[in-house]
Amino acid sequence: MVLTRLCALLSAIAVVSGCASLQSKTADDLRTHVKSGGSFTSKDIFEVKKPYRQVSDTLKKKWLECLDSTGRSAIHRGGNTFGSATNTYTPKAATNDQRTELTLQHKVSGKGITQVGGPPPEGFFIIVTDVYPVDRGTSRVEVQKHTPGYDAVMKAVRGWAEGSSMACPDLSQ
Amino acid sequence: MRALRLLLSAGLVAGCAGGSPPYKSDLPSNLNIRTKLSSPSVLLTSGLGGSFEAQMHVTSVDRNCQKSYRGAVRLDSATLAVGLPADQAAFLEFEFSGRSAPARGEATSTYSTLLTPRSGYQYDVDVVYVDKAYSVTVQERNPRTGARREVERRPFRACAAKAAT
Repeated sequence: MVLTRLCALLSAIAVVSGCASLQSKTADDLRTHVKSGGSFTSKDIFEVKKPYRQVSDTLKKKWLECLDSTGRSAIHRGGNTFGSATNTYTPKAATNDQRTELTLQHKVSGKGITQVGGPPPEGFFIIVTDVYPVDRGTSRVEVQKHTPGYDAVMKAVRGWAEGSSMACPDLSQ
Repeated sequence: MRALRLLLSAGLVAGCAGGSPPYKSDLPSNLNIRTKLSSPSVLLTSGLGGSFEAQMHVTSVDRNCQKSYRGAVRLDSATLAVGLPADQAAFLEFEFSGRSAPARGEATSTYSTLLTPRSGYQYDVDVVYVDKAYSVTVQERNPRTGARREVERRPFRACAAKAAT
């Protein structure tokens, strides 16, 4: 988690190279990075014994509800100078009969902050969840992320899919 | 790891929740809030000079979806009740804030929803923050019949969309 914020914030104030260049600008970008085993990537793939439509609807609802979030974090600008960054998370969903795609973008903004690497307007893609039908009563969920930290989101997606927890992950922690 | 983050990130942010004016209302209580909070980190506990708290910011929303901030209600581990105008939309923002005093670090996270309380109804809100995850559930209760129903979250853009049509 420290690395998440550290990387994001340091890249945001453009003092670190090699962080932004690794970030994903599209959902497909992210899938490619994960497939190639890129840095700061991980995935959680599992099946649930529930119909595709049910899993899709639940995940879409919780994804849009829980991850539509804005938070503040403090940054150290060096010496005795401090500032704040605003972290804006934008969740999106696209559904058809074959796949439900859920994406999460992360944008860092604030006075004097510029995210290097040419992020999309709503920020880099940090997590993508795909839901597929396996058979009438089974669905496959693939959660992939391209960022350090955010394990709580992956855990939450599993909880939503399995029905064991409907809580929202705190993206600031 | 969290200690490192809090030591590296520092600086109290202007506009912190503690600085918000309190929400005041003479209306009969219709919003009953139960809160359960568990600090996500030992660094955010009072023993180490830190804090972790939740607040509910109340903003009234008119027919044109124009906002007017009304104030904040501090949510601690107790039950409290406030009055919201009936049949008028309110935008409720639940803010979870952690501050580490020694490192002057801060992180906040918010969950928001539009709520239009109906006249004669009570609204029971459960706010839970445990294991770095939170849930906010709103139930509408008819005091006369005892009937309850869960109120779905409505993002603010739902108001904007309605006004645009």
